[in-house]
Amino acid sequence: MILLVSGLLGGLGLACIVLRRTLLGILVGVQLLILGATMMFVLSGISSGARPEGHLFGFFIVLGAVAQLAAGYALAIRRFYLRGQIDMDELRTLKR
Amino acid sequence: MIHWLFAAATVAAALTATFASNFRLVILALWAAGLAAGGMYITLGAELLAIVQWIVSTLVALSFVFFAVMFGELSPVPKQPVRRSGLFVIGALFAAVVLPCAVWIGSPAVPNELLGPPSRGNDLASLGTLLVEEHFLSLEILALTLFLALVGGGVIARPDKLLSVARRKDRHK
Repeated sequence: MILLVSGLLGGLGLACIVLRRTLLGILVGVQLLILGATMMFVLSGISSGARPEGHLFGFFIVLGAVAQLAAGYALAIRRFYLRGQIDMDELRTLKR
Repeated sequence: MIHWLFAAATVAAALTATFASNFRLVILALWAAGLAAGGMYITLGAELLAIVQWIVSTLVALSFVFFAVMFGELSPVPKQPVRRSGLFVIGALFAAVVLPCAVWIGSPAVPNELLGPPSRGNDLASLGTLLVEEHFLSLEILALTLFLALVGGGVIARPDKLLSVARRKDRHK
């Protein structure tokens, strides 16, 4: 039953990615999705008897999320610099 | 039992972060979701992960505030509607329902007696030993990924010289 919580977090993250228009909103969704994935690894480690491995993989995922966020912010800055907005609907290219 | 309280707080915060239209509230809810998830990790015996999650969530929320201010997302009058409608809402609800159901049906149940900190073998020393002895390559790859993301972010977000010159010329005209 508690694994449903991590699934719910992941599902809400996916919903947020689909619903939001701006790049920052999409990044919020990705953060929620990654939060759900981390929780899934911790709970799966507990249920499979490999508790420390679950914690370590969760640790790796949390720090990987930081790298993803840095790349997302860089894309947002590029988009804002070129177009003056971060709306993702009309995004086709990052070149001029 | 207390992990259910943290779980409820996490889901409530995630719901707010997904469906709220005010971006301030979205950032606050994302922060609260991270803190509540860290509380869940504490009750499950993952103290190191909980502390890392709290630090990362706080820094992520602060960076969201910073970038939202920079991009004008916190302005009182939004330039355009934040949320979508129609097919996108149906797709989002589908995603929000189907993924948890798939996880719930496809995963084995976690026994209730295991939900809690274990009596031994869960200290930081054993985690550190495991990290260095068995997952050292993963740690190196993670460090390289963070370094590349940092450098790559700087390269992607650099000012475009040609564009700057063109804009300057337009201003002078």
